[in-house]
Amino acid sequence: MNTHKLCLIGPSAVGKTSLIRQFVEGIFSEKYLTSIGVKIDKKQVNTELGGVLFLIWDIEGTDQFCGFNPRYLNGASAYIVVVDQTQPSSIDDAIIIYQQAIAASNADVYLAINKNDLTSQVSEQQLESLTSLKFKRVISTSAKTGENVANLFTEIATSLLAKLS
Amino acid sequence: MEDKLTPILQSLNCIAFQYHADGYFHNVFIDSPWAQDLVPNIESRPYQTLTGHSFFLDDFIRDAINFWQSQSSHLNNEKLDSGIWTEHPENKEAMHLSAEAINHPDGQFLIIRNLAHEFNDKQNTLQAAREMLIANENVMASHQYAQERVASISHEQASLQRIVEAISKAVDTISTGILIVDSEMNCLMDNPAIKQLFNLSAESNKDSILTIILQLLEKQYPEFNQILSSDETWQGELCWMLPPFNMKWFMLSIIPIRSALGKLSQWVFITSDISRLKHLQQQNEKLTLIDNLTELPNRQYFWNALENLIAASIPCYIVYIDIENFKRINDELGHSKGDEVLTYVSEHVRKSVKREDVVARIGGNEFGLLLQGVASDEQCKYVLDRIGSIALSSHFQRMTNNLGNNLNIGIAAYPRDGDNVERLLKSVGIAVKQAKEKLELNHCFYNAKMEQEALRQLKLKQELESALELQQFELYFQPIYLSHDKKISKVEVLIRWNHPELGLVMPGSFIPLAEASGLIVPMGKWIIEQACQALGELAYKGYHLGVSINLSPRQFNDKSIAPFIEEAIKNFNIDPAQIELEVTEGLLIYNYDAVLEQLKTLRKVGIKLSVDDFGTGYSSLSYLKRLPIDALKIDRSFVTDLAVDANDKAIVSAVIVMAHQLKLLVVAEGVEEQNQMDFLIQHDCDFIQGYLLCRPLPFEKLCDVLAQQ
Ligand SMILES: Nc1nc2c(ncn2[C@@H]2O[C@H](COP(=O)(O)OP(=O)(O)OP(=O)(O)O)[C@@H](O)[C@H]2O)c(=O)[nH]1
Ligand SMILES: [Mg+2]
Repeated sequence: MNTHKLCLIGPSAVGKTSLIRQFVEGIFSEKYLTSIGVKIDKKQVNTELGGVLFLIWDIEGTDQFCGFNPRYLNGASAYIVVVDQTQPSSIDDAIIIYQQAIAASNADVYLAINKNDLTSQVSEQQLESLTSLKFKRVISTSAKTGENVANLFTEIATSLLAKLS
Repeated sequence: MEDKLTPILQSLNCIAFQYHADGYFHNVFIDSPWAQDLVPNIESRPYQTLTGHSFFLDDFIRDAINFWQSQSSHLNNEKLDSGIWTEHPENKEAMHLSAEAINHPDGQFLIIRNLAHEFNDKQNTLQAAREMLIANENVMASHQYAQERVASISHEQASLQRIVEAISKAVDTISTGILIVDSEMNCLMDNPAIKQLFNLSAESNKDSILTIILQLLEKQYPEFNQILSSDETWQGELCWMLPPFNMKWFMLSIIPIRSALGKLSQWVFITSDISRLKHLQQQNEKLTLIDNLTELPNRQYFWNALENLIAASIPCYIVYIDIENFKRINDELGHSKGDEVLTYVSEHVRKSVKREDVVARIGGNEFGLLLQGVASDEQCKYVLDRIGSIALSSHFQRMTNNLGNNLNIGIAAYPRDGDNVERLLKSVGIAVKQAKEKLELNHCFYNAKMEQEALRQLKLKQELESALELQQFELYFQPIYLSHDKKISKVEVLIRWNHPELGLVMPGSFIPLAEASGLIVPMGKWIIEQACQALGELAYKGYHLGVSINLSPRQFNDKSIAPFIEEAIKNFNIDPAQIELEVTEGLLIYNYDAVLEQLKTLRKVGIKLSVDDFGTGYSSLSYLKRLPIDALKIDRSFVTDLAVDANDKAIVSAVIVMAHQLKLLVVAEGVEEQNQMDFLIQHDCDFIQGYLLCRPLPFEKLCDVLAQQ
């Protein structure tokens, strides 16, 4: 079985932990418990091209209290930048995080625009400045309803397997 | 060696391995209960790869091996830190760990630490901080949304009907409260949210909400009427007290709406509940605005807390506590003892007040309290007595080595002694200063008289600065008599200040000021010069007297004093043995080595040295024996009670006997009555000084008295 390291990065409180929890355990909680450091979960994904074992790195959010540690991306096959469409500031912060990340890693980058079950507070223009960056795929998700969550992980798995063959 | 290291490594809660180039590690220290949970069967495998148990660790070991093999890491001792990670072994509690790869000349090591406590602290701090960020963004976003809606409608200059409709539509479902009032402050419309904000039922009268808001504004923003008359948008925070215990914080925006003619037609009040935000802010401040040593909030926090109480018009007592002589603890017992004392006092103070009361560390040796719900000064005193009792406790005395440390406590009351933070902190500062000066009471409530006194002192200090230049000082001379023949043997020089308004000012009221400001040094030199000049004149007139001059602590510590005296002696051509310097006993007991050195230096000049106020300090005669001293002066307090107090009689006669054994001469000062003098002469006291024989005199008068002899 192919094992791949997959990291979730982004500003704090955008839903990184929630996305992983939804994907791995199928659970969502409204309560916010901020992540400290790193926690790794594993989950197998089966695609038409075969199975992949993901080691999913839930990395603490980046904000004024906590910087981004690019070393966490070492050895990752792909990573997901997560933003929150109800928090306009998360878009601006994500642009900076993206730049730090691509400087440290060549892995594929995905963008998850999360909390799509809530009304967006982000202007088209602002979103454009983020989505125009070199993401392998931009996808609108909800950790709460589960929308596009499994799709995102399956797509990453497929892409990784396609690369191998 | 290993035995010694074991408890240390255990207390660090870590495990350690040494790396061998082949990808294997040697167990160095694995004596921690959680080592098994991270690496199963760790004990049975002293030599292993450590991989395959934790995804994070596998990843880090890969980076660590790269690091150890890389060129640069060999250059010096370097470390690679993994950052915190969480490991959740099956059926076990989660562990919070961090790993370090270390490059050391002795080898390459991997240290894994268990950070249970650090993790919780960090989690709590960041949780509060981040929740606050979010709450702030949310409240502000919807408040702003409502405000923008209202602003855009008001630009349309629509009819009231239209405004009410549009706003209602926009705001009916949101949690932001809306109230529209006319220019006369009659309520026209409200939404359901505002009733909820003020805990009112849906049927309640909308006017009652407006009444509450206007009352709060009047109290908390005295300038509010001005704001209304400026016809501009206003925004501020309101605190709403809900008796008995609750309070709510609101963000309030007030927006004017004008008619087509530009006349003000309505006001729209937009209200959001920011209590949670405030609460988080406070919690966050608690987590960050904290003094590391005592774990008490810091000065900034104290300031904010007082500001909040004032904003909410909540009466309170503001208390400053100052540990007296704290510097001595640090200087003489070391800083770690000082820290221990601070921690002990902070805990004691914390325990002496209610949980809700604010206790903060606001300075090096100062604590601040905010006491709520204390009805009167009397009641406040109970709390202060509880706090003050620490100084009496034997534990505290032992801890401070009986240095005589006490607590000085100053108190001000809000609103009685001020209505803003600056004013109140000034008041309480004045009170604590007063408490320091008063010896009999350890606490002092602020009053206006104190402040006048402080102002008077300040003025006096400023005038004192120019007094030397304006030649307002004058020397007086008090004769000191040989007791056996009642002849004047020497004179003590005493300074007086001819103040243009106050008249003759006694040294007691200005020497401490001069000492505190450092003015004492030039003033002291002036005295020495004048005294030498007087000696010269007296010699010219045929009188050969000694002169004794008081030396204050600051002067005594001034390195330039000895050469200065030498110079003056030369200039006025006098015998150095004619000059005697008096230093207080209190000064001698600090810092023996430095004192001895300075005394020796002065002694080399050829002058005499004597100890003033003997008996008031803590020195013993045997201590004085080790110092180069010629005479001592028995403090006037013993002399005053000589006739009536048997104890004092015993002390004085014993001091004289022992001083003579040590070859010290004895002077008694403050002799005012015949029976005092009789006793002193009877017990062989060498010199007598006091009103009974002669008061301090200006120079000409002194000459007259000498002529009569
Ligand atoms: N409505 C909604 N809420 C979400 C969604 N995803 C996350 N949340 C909520 O957003 C908050 C933050 O979610 P987390 O998953 O802890 O965010 P995070 O990015 O891991 O945060 P940090 O670990 O602090 O960086 C929580 O209260 C979640 O319940 C979503 O898709 N929809
Ligand atoms: Mg998280």
